[in-house]
Amino acid sequence: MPDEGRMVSEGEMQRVGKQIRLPWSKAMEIAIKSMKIRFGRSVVTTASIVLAIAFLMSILTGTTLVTSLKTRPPQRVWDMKTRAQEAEKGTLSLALPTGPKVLDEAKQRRVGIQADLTKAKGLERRGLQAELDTVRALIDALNSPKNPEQAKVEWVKSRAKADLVAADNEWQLLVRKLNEEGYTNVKPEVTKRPKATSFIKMLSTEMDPRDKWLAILAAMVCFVGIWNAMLMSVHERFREIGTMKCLGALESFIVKLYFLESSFMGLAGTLMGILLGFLLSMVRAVSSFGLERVWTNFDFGGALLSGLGTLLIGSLLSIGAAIFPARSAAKMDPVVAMRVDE
Amino acid sequence: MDQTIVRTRDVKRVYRMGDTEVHALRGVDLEIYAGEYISIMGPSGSGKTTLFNMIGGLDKPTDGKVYIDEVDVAQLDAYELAWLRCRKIGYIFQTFNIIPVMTALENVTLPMTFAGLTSDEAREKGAALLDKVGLGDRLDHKPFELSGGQQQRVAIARSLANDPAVILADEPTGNLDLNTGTEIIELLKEMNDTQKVTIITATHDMKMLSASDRIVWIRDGRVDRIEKRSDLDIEAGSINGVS
Repeated sequence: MPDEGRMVSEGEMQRVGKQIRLPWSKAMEIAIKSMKIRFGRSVVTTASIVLAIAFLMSILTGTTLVTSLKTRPPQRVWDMKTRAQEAEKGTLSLALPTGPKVLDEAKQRRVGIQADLTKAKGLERRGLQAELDTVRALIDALNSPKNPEQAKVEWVKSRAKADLVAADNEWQLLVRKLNEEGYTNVKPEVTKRPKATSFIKMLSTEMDPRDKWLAILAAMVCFVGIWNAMLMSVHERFREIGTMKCLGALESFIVKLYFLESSFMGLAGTLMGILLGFLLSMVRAVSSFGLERVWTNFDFGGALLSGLGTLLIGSLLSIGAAIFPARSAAKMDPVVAMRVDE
Repeated sequence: MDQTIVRTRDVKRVYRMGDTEVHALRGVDLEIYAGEYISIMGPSGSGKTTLFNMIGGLDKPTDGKVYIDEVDVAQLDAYELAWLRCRKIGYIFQTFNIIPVMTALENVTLPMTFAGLTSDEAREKGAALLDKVGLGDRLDHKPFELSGGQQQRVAIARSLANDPAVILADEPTGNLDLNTGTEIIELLKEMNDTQKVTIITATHDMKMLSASDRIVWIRDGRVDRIEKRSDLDIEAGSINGVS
């Protein structure tokens, strides 16, 4: 029943600000419902976010991987070099393999390697030669040598050298592969221990300029795609917005509702995009460099950071692109809003 | 005696479209009393919708004043306007304007949410209102599952959500057929009698004449004449051959 006398009392008017509200729980309810109903349209919007983010993520992950491929194997080469130097100085200690069959196995291996050597060329030859030296030294050391100490030291030296050659061979093959894949500024000589690259440094220096441009493009596509989808979504709901304002909704309510909707879509799309982008770049990497190389050199920390960074970017873009259309819709005159033809 | 709930004083409204000016209202003086059922009638383009928007706080006059319960509408800020629309005025539109993603009950309870009612209170009240308009068994229906007349009933129930003092109906029967339109007018009259809300309609539906206490005829942006129902010559079911 309406009040007797005045429709609006002074006291009531003073308390106005606190009287109209849209609690977050209600706003969420409405937003989720709207999204469910408009699922088809939402899927298209979300799909564009997913793809753009996947693009961005695959670039970041790809760069992370290539950076670790450029750093970790040379680190191993350097470590092996240091180890070989220690062996030369006599400060490296290794245990000779023991057991009854070791000598026989070594002799068998010697025969095998000598056979392989006849056909080997280049890096393979180098590796086999170093192994052969090691096996010979092992046999000498096990075959009751005149000077056991000396024999052991010789074996340690050749063992360390063979390990170095193996690591370096791997590295040289990888360098060739990297060159094939288009990463041409890789130095094959390892003159110092490469430092692990931080994520930020990687983004600024290691990232291929071509990839940088693509990443920026992906971010822009994401932003524009969301902005457009949100604009469309807001436009088709002008009448709804006008109606809500007639029911007493404040501008902030409208903004709240759209903020929630866009946040959900943005977050969901970003998460899916990150997953998709990660998988795609992994597939690409494995097919280019091989599963073993990727597996042994994979930088989990870097990948995680890429994911988090992409998550942040995606979410911010989604929310930012949605807020502006929402605010302009909220400011519309209800009469004008409701006149918009459906 | 009869207390004035809405008052306009020499209200003018000019629309500027590019270089042309459209004078929708050329100075309207009107007084609307609490509890009455008043219809603003006139042909399309006469300015009745514009006047309606003025009275309902949906638009501000270019000149002149509109007082809703002695409060100058032009002086209200966004918060106060929103409060007014939420608590004191209920709106009904020709195109129903029900939110398509919500059920009938959710539509009716939306303004209650804005007014701060809890979910339970709102649901109870909403169900009672929908029952009153004859949709007690369609609480969970979505607008596309309801006929035009039913949607308008939802709109009426919604307009009563926060016990307003005034209900404003813009062409409420405009999109409805003859029979449904009559039903709606009867429902509005019932609300006027039982709930004691003031009802202001803008319409060119002649069926509204028999329900109204007073009729304001608008022509060319000005009040042509104001008639009381008792003054009208109404034959049973028809006026001057128009039914």
